[in-house]
Amino acid sequence: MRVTSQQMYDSLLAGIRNQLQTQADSTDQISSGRRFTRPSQDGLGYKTSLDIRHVQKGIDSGLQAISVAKLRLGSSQNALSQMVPIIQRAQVLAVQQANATLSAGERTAAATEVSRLQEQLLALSNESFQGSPLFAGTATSSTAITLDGAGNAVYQGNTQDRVVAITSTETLTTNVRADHTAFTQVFSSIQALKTALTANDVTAIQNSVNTLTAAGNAMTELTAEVGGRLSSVGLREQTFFDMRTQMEARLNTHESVDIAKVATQLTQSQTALQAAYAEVSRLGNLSLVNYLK
Amino acid sequence: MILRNLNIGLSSLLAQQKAIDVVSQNIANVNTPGYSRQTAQLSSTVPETLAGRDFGTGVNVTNVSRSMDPILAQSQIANNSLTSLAQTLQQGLANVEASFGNLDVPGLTTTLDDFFVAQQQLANTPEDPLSSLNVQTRAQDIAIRISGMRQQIVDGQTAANQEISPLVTQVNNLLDQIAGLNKHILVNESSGPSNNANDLRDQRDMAVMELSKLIPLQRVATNNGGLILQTPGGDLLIQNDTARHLQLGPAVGSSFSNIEFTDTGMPAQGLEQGGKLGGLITLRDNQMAGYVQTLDSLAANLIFTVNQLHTGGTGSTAVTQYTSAQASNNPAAAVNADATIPFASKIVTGSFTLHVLDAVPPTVPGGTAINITAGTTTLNQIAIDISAVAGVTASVNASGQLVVDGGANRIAFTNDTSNLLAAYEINAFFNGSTAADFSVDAAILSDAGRIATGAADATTSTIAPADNTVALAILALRDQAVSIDGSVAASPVQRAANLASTYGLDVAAANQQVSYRQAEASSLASQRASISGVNMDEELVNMMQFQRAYEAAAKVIQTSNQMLDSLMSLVR
Repeated sequence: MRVTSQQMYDSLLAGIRNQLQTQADSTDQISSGRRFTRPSQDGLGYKTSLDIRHVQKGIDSGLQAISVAKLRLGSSQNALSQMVPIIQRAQVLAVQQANATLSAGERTAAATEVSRLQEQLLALSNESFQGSPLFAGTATSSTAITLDGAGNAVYQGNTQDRVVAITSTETLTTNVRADHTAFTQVFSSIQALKTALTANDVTAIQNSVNTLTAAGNAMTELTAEVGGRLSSVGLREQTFFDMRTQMEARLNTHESVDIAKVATQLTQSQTALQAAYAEVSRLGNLSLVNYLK
Repeated sequence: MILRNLNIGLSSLLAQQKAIDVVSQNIANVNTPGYSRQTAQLSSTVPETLAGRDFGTGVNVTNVSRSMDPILAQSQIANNSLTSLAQTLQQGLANVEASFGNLDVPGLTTTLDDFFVAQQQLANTPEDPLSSLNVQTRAQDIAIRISGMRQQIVDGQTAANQEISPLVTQVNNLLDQIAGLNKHILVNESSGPSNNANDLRDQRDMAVMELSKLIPLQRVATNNGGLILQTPGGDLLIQNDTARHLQLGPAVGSSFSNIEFTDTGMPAQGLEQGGKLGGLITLRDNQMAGYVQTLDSLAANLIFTVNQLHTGGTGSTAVTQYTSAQASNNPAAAVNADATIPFASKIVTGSFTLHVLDAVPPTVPGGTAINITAGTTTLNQIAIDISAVAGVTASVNASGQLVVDGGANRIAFTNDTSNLLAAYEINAFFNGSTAADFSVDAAILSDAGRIATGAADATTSTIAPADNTVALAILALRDQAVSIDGSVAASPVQRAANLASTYGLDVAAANQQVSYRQAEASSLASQRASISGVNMDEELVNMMQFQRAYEAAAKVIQTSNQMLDSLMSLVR
C-alpha cells in the first residue's frame, strides 16, 4: 500500500482525538464516582437508576407511613390499656358492694366512684391523636362517644376505619373504633353497676360482676389485638429497612465506577497520548527534502 | 541524420519539462483537499522508416492521468452522508439533554415521585392542611417541569427546522456549482481526445463530497465525463449541466414544511436518509416529535386519570359552587361530540351523583343521579337536570362553562361513571390535555383545601373529614399502568423513565454511528490517500529522474551539435 505523510498525520490526529475523549470520560467518571450521570451516557443504565430511585422513594415514603401507623396504633393501645385497670377497679367495687351487709349509703358512695370511673373511661374513649378523636373512625369532627340521658354510651363516629397507605396499593388499618363490642360491653356493664348501686340492688350488683369480667376480658383482648397489629407493623417496617439497605447496595453496585479500572485506563491513555505527541514532532524530520539540501 | 538527433533531443527536453511540470503541480497541491495525484504518461513518438528500418523520433507526453478510484469515491460520498446525519443527530440531541435532567438534578421522574409521596402523606393524614399544601406545591412542580421540558424540546425542534431553510439554499448553490463544473468538464474534454480536465474533476468531486454532507446522493457517471446525481428516492437532482432546485413546501397545519422540487412542487424522496438535512429532518420529525408525543401522552394520561378520581371527591373546603374549567363553544351539542373539549370522546353513557348538603341529614341523602346518554345529552340538558335538584342551580355561562351553584349549600359529586366531570374539568385537579397546557386547577392553586381526599357517603351524603378513599385511589395511580390514548399502558413514572431512557438510547445510537462512520471515513480517506494522495518522497525521486533525463537530452543535443561542427569543419 502506498503511504503518504498525510495519512500518518491523519492517523495520529485520530488517535490523539480518541485518547483525549478517553481522558475526558475517565476524568468525568473519577470526579463523579459514577459510571454515568446523564441519560446520554447509558440509556438503559439510567432507566435502571431511575427505577431503583423510584423504589427507594416508595420505601422512604412507606417508612414514614409506618411511623404514622405505629403512632396511631400505639396511642390506641395506650388508651385501651389504661381502660383495663379502670374496669378492674369497677370489678373490685362490684364484688365489695355485692356483700348483702353493706348499707344503701355505702352503695351510693360507691356509685359516685363508679361515676368517676365511667367518666375516666369516657375520657379515654374520646382521646385525640394529632387533634382528631382516636376511636371515631374517619368522622373526626365529633367525639367518639357521648352518654345519653340514661347514661348509656352512644357512638358518634362512623363505620369507616382509618387506613394508612404504606405503598401505593397496600394499606394498614391503624385505628380501633369505639363501636367495637369491647367498648359496648365496658360502658353497658359499668352503667349497669352504677344503676344497681344507686338502686341498692344486690342481685344486679352480683350480676354486674360477671358482665364487668366479660367486658374486662373483651377490652384486654382488644388491647392485645392492637398490640399484635403493632407487632405486625414493626415486622413490616423491618422488611422496609431491609429493602432500603438492599436498594442502596444495588444502586451502589449499579452506578459506582470501578476506580482502579478507570485509573488504569487513564494512565494507559496518558502514555499513548505522550507517544502520539512525540511521534508528531518526529514525523516532521522524516522527509527526503532533508537529504537534498 | 544528425538533425534527427537534434529533434529527438528536443522532444525529450520538452517531454521531461512537462513531466517536471506535473511533478511541480503535485508538490504544490500536496496539502490541497480533494486533490488527486497526476502522472505524466510518456510514450515514444511514431517511428520513421528509413531504408526499410524503423528509427525512433523521440518522446512525447501523451496524457496526464489522474489517480483516483471511482468506487472508493462512491463509498466516501455514501459515508459522508451518513456521518453528517449521525453528527447532526448527536449535536441536536445534545442540545436538549438538559431538559431530561440527570441523576444529580431532579428530573421529571423525581418530580412525579415527589408528587405521589406528597399524595401518600395526604392519604395518611387527610385532615392535616400542610399535607394538602404539600400536594399543591408538588403538583405545581409537575406542571412547571412537564411544560418546561416540552418547551425545551419544542425549541430544539424549532431550531432544527430553522436550520433547514439556509441549508436548502446551500444545497441549491452546490447543485449549481456542480452543474457548472459539469459543463466546463464536458467542454474541456471534448476539445481533444487525450485532454483530461483533471483539476476540474477534482473540484467537481469536492463539490459532490460537500453536497453529500448535506443530502444523501446517488451518483451516476456518464461516459462523456458528465455526471448524474439523484436522491435515494430516485428523484433527479443534476443531469450534466442542468440542476433541479429544492425549496421548502408550505407548512400544513401545525406540522413543519416538507422539502420539494421548485420545478414540479413534488416532495423530494428519501432526503431523510442522510446528510445534515436528513439529520435535521429526522431530529425534527422523528426524535423530537416522538419525545413531544410521549410527553403529551404522559400529560394526557396523568390529567385524565387523576381527574377521573378527583372529580368524584371532596376536600376539607366546603364548596358551594363549581365551574367547569373547560368551556364549550356549542353547549347544545352532545357532550361527547363537543370538538372544543379535548377529552369529550371519553364521555360515555352513565351518570354522576350530585350531593346537596342542605341540612343534617340532607333533604336527599345519598344524592341525585344525573344521567348522561352519549350522543344525546347536551351540556344545556345537564344544566337543566341539575337545576331540577332541590337546593342547587346550574347554567352554562357566556364563556360556555357549566356553573353549578348550591347557594349556601355545600355540594359534592361522586361516582361519575360517564367521565363527564373529568372531561369538562368540574372539580378537577389538573387542567389541560397535553404537556403544553398542563396546569393545576386554579381553584386548587388558590385553596389547597379543594384537594379531594374523601367522598360523600353513597347512602347518607355525609363527608367524613378523615376519609381518604379518593386520596388512596389517586395514590394507587403511582404504580398503575394505564392508557387512555392508545399508547402502551404504563405508570406516569414509568412513562417519564422510558422517555429519558429512549433519549439516552437515541444518543447512544447516534454516538455509535458517529464513531463507526468516523472510523469508516478515516479508513476511506487513508485508502484515497494511498491511491490519490501525493507522496513528497515519490515526487522528489520522480523529479530527480526527469531532471537527469533532461540533462541527458541536453547532452544529446550538445553531442549532435559537436557532430555538426565536425561535419561543417570538413566543408570549410
